[in-house]
Amino acid sequence: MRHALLLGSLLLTTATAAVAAPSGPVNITTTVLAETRAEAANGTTQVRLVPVRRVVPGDHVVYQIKVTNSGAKPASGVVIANPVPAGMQYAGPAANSPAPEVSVDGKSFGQLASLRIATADGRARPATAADVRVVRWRLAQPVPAGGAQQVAFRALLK
Amino acid sequence: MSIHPLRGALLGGSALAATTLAAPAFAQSQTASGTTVNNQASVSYDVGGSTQSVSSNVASFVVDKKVNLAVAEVGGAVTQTAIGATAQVTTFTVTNLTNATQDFRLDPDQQSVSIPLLGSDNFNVTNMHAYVDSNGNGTYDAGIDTATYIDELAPDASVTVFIVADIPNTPGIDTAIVSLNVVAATGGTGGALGADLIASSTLVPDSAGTVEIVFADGSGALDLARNGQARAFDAYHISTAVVTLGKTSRVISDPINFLANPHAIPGATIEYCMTINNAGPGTATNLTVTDNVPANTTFVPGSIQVGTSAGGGGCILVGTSEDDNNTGADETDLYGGSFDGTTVRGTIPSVAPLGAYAVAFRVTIN
Repeated sequence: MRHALLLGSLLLTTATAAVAAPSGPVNITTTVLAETRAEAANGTTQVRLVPVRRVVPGDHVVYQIKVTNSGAKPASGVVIANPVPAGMQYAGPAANSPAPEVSVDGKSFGQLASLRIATADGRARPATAADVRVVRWRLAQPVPAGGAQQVAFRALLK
Repeated sequence: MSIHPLRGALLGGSALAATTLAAPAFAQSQTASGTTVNNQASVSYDVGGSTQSVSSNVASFVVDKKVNLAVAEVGGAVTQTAIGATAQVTTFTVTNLTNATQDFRLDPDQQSVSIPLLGSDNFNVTNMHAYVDSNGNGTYDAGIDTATYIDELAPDASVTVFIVADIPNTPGIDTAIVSLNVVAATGGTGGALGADLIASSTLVPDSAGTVEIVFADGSGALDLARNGQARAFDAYHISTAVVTLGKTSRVISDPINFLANPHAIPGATIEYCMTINNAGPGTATNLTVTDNVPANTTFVPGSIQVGTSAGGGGCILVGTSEDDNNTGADETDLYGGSFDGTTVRGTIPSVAPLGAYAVAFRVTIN
C-alpha cells in the first residue's frame, strides 16, 4: 500500500516537473549497489560494493546519488533529497560521503540524535535509524558548470 | 522540492504505527521475496536566480528469497509411554522464517544417538509417521490430522507437527529417540507438496530482476548450516512397570500312585503356581497376588510359598514358606502370604525389570 502510494506520487511529481521545467542543466541519477563481505588474507573483513545481487532481508545496500551540472552556469543552493525506499531502513552515510540530514516526518531535518518521535502515550522518545523517512543533503558549495557531486547512504533491507 | 507532497502520502497512520514499534529489523516481518525495492532521489538548485528541481531515475532491485526455518520440540520433556502402546505422540513446532510462503517436507527418523536430556536410545519405534496439526488445536487427532507435509506456511507462521508411532512389545526397552527433520520446499501451489528448494548457485551471476534462493538457516545437531533444513529431537520413554500374571497347576501326588506319575483323582494334591513377570523398565512395588481356592478342592494348610520363580517345571526357586494367618514374622521376612478361608494372598515387596516371582499353594481334590 505504502509502496503504491510512493510510486504514484513520484510519477505525478516527475510529470509535473517535466512540464514546469523542461530539461534543466542539472541531472540526477541514482544507483543501488550491494555490500558483500569477504575475508581478506590478513584476517580482516573487506566490504566491497557490487552490482546488486542476492539481496535478502538483513543485507545492506548502498544508494549512490550523483548530481551533474551540464549547464554553462554553476548551480547553487543544491538540495538532494531521497525518501528511504519502502522495505529499507536507513543505516547511515556511506563511506566517503558527507553525512545527510535526516527526517522522521518529512518536514523537519536534522542530525538523527536531535530528532524525537512522539509515542502513543503522548511522550517522546529519541528517534532511531529505523524511524528515518527521508535523507537530505544541502550542498554548501555550488556545483560548477560541467561539474558533478556524489553522495551516498547505506540502507538495510528489512 | 518535490518531497513534501510525497511525504504526506507516505506518512499514513499505518506507517507511523509501524515506526513507533522501534523493534530491531529482524523482529519485524521480513520484506517478502519478489518485492521490488525502488529508490528515487530528487534535487533542487538555483541557476541564474531561478529555482528548479528534477527527479532521478528509479534504481531498483528484487528482494531474493532468504530461506530459514526453525523446528522445536514442544514441552521440553520426553513422551511417557508404555510397552505395546499404539499411536504414541511426540510434538514439535515448525516456524517459517523465510520471507516467502513455503511448503515444508516432513522427514521423521529414528536416532540411535544418546542425548543427555533425552536418555540412551535402546529401541526403535514402529509405524512412525509425521502429521501436521491440521485443525490447529495442538493435540493429535487421529483421522483429522492427516497431512504429511506442511502446505503453504506463511512467513513467520508456525504450525504444530506430531510424530506418531507404535511402541514394540519388547521386554526391557525404555528409551527411543526420534527426530523431525524438516526440509524447505517450493510453495505457491496449494494442496500439493512442492519440490525441495535448491539454493541458487553462487557461481551464476545474479540478476537484479529475479528472485534467487539463499539458504540462511543455522546449524544444529545432525544439521548443517545453510542447507534449507532444520531438525529437532524428542524421545519416547517407558518408565512404568509392565507386570503380567500367569497361573499353572501340576499334580504333586495322588493316594494311589503317590509321587510317581500322579493323576488328578480325588485325594490328589495339586500345586497352583502364579508367576509374576515385570517387562519393565520400571520396578513394580508392593505387589499382592490373590487367588480363590477352586471349588471341590481343599486348601492344604501351611502350603503357601512365595519367592523367585523357578520357571520350567518348578514354581519357587528361592522363597519363604508362609503360615496361613496374616501376622507374624513370616509376613515381614522378604515375602508374605496368608489364607482367609477362601482366598490365598501372597505379597512381594518389589519386582525389578525382567524379574520373575511366584506364589505357590497346594490343594487336595475332594
